[in-house]
Amino acid sequence: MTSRTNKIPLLPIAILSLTAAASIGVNIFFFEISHYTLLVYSLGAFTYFIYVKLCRFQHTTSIDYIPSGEAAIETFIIFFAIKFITSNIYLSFFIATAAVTIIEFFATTAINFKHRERLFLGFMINVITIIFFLFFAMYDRTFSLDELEPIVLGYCHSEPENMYSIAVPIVIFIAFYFFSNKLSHDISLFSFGKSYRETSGFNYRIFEAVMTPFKGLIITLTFFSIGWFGGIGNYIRTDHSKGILVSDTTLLLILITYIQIILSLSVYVDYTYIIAINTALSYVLFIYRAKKDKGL
Amino acid sequence: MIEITDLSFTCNEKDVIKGISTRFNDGEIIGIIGKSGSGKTLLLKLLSGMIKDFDGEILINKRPLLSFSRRELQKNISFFRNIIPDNSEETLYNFLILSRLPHKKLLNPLSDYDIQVVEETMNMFELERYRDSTLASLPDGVLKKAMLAFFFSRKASIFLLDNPTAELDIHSTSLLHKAICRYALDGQNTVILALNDLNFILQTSDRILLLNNGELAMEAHPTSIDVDIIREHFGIEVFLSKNIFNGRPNIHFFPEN
Repeated sequence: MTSRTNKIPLLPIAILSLTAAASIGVNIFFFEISHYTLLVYSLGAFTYFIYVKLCRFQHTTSIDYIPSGEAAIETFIIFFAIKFITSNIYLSFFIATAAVTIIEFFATTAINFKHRERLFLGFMINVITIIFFLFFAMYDRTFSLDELEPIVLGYCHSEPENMYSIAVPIVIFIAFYFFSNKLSHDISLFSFGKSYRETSGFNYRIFEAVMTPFKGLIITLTFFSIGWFGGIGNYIRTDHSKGILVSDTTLLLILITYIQIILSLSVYVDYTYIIAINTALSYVLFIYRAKKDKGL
Repeated sequence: MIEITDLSFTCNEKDVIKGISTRFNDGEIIGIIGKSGSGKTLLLKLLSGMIKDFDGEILINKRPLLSFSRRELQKNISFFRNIIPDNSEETLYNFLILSRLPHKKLLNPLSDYDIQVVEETMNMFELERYRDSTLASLPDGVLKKAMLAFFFSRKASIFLLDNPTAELDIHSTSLLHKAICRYALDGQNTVILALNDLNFILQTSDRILLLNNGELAMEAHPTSIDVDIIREHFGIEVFLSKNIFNGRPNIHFFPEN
């Protein structure tokens, strides 16, 4: 959605593309990270991009998935699903999607949390999660924090032979990108609130009924691919005046580069530190953005 | 043209709109006045199709309101209410362009005409310089004009406005006055205003509807409004002067001392 068509800024996009390619190259040749891992993280960047776009359509939930507590909920659900229900990755994926969809339904439709309440809820969920797992690690000798590592770094990576699952985010990304661009105005109106969305003449209950499980699916796909490596996308503003394609490409390249850099760091630094730093960064960016946009 | 016959609405077993019958013609500007709680906003909500369980009949161009589909309603009726948009991160232009959605088919792009309408409305409300500003960054008065522009851009044949002058400075109020007059001027659109600013409504409307406890107490030309009517229905003593250009009354308070 743009007001004017200007020249495409090729130089910044070329620089961003080179940076993204360089960050992937460093991970392949310098850190020797497997191709499968890199592929999953790159696809995770795509699903994360979809998540960011969905949040922008639903303005009331434009808090990223770490401060909103969605990452912590996913961690909980996957941990318990693996420990007590099933070791099947698809089944745990389904359970996680269903759980996040239900929470999303209550947060956005049934209770309709405002920004501040959602942030507070997310903060409480994050604190409870940290306390819970620390407590668990201290008093249960059968549990070690290392068990969480495959979950928080993206559970997809625990089954490298499962290449078919990679097709899922690709198909979703292509379908989503096609429809989101075609329906960008219609979905955009969704974010302005009930009195505005009704003005389109479209039955937005249908949209809501589809959007909530779709968002649940996207959050779970993102979490299974990149774990806690995201959390910043909602706070990046790209220039819309040069067209939606330029703006989207810029955002996607930034997300890919950011995730690759975090991945590089994770080779040397323990995963708990990486997640702590990323979570802190997500909160800092949220506060910065909220202050700048008068959002809180 | 809107024809209302014996319109009544009951809320919590209380009759809040009682047997209103009237007719709004094309090209007419109608002002609804009355004390707070007299049913002005409710009447607009009934006319907009937001409330469907009413008694009586509302016909739009001889067709019952309830037979209109959701999309047809939005194409034909634009209803401005003072509700600030939730998403303040969008730019003004991108916000305004969404007002044209009822006129486009799903999956189709907006037409050049849609863009032209939005551009014209932006000019009419002097919003051009804020085109790329986010809604969050707009001053309150400009945001209010943007909200008005959103509903003006719809170009619906029936335009309902609930308290449109709130928070507008005198310059913006004058722009709104011009915009409303121009909107009705083509003879095909009907504008219905409900507000507490009696002076604005007396200067702008072609006909006044006075509501009292949900009943239509009076229907008259603005020049017929006098101090006795104000005293009877609003419970205050005022004095009136006449606008020398159009002969319409202006209401003034008596000085305290």
